[in-house]
Amino acid sequence: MTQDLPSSKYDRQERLSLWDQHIVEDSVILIAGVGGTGSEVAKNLALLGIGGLILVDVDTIEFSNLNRQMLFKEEDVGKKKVEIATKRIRERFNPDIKIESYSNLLQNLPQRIFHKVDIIAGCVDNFLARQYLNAMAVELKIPFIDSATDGYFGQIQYIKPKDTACLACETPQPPNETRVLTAPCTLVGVPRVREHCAWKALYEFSTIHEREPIDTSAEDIAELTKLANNFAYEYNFGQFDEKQLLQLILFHVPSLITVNAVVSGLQSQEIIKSLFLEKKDIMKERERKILENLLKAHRFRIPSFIIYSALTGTINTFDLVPDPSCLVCGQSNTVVDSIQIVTVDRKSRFGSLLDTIREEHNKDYVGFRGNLIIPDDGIIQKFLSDGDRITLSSLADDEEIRLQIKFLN
Amino acid sequence: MSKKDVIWDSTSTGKTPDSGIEKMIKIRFKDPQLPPDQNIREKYININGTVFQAITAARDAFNIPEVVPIALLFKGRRMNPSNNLSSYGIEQNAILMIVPDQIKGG
Ligand SMILES: [Zn+2]
Repeated sequence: MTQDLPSSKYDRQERLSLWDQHIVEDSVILIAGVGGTGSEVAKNLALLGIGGLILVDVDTIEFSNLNRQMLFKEEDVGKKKVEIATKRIRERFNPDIKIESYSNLLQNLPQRIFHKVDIIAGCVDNFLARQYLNAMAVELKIPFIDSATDGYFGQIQYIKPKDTACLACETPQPPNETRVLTAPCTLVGVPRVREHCAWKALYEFSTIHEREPIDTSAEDIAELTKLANNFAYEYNFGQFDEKQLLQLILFHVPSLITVNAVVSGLQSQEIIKSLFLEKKDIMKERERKILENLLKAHRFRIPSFIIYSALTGTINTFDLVPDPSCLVCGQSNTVVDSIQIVTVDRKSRFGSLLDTIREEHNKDYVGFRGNLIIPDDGIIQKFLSDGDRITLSSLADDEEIRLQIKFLN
Repeated sequence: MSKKDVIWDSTSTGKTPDSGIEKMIKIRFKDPQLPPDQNIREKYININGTVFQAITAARDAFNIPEVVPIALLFKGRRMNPSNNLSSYGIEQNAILMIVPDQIKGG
């Protein structure tokens, strides 16, 4: 019997023209959000033989996840999603895969994690996290394939920084003002519209508790509303009631496994295609030639926008063009190609860095991973590591400056 | 209704506070969720109106219920409902794509 076994578990996919299993095995994908779509994407990539996954999700498993998130069982309710997902993927789909997991808010994920990532897969369930990933992908020039579902509908957007539209280009809702706020550094900014107070409250809540608020918890909702109203009062906006706040930031969209499966299937496929495209130069000679010929004949493309409707059974693709005035990827953005480097002594006081910044850049605040660094007498290495990127801002204008920290020695 | 039916938007005054001028142009709305021989419908809309008014016209053209959130794409750009149509450089016979809006779950 065993003589008849193919030599590789991946034999059937390796029979495909264009397929280079080495590229797949040599790649690392960051999956942000291990929910309905994210667990499917993780399963698909694990079965395809991806080399490494980085799973990020701050949530714990809820009973209502079990209708569609096949990595989880009833006994897992209350446990951290990323921990159970890691265990199940290894047990059931791929024992050889390298998995790193982070039960963190995306915004608190150390930036060095992104440096080893070939592609970011966005499978999150909210606007803020999506915009954060987008800004990160654009800044670090990592291809980003984002998906979203809502009941019978799903979409996938491919963001190749500077080539295609990003998620902040002509963003539909919330409008312009929120774009500014949702850049990774600007959650600390001044709310420009009332809704910003709610987003800031959500961020504050998540930072304090290191988890997202639960929409069925009266305590969480009350605390969130209080936080939002503190901001609203401080910045002269009208107060929120709990119902408004729930609707605004904790609304759970309906979700179907069939739609999740289609969308995650499309997303996983585009991830693999994007890997082949990014690593074309190191592909096996024969596969590379096939790819080049297909590209020439326009028979291989990654659409920037795919829409699926389960109600009409249609999948449509569109090409989205970048918005030159986009605050994240456009010409007016804060992301620069050659980021300025500031060299500091890791043991010097944070106050001395702030003095330099005030003097040289005329800015008052230092933001890092979405939080302001409150200057006290601490030393720099308490707050920052070598290679971290910080954001400088001031109340006087909306313009931000980014700097990369470099430690002496 | 055939795909080339022209629907005049008789309910819209088409007047905006800034211009007050009504300048109707023919727009083609395309709903890619429909079969290719039925997915384009034409409508006259006021070029000085907002994208939001165009979205309303698109709903009307295809009888899309209010509960289905939609957005419009023009030449690969997602149109902001509060912007003026003219700011996108839309001309006679322009094709505006209908896509779902506000998809955010995961
Ligand atoms: Zn953009």
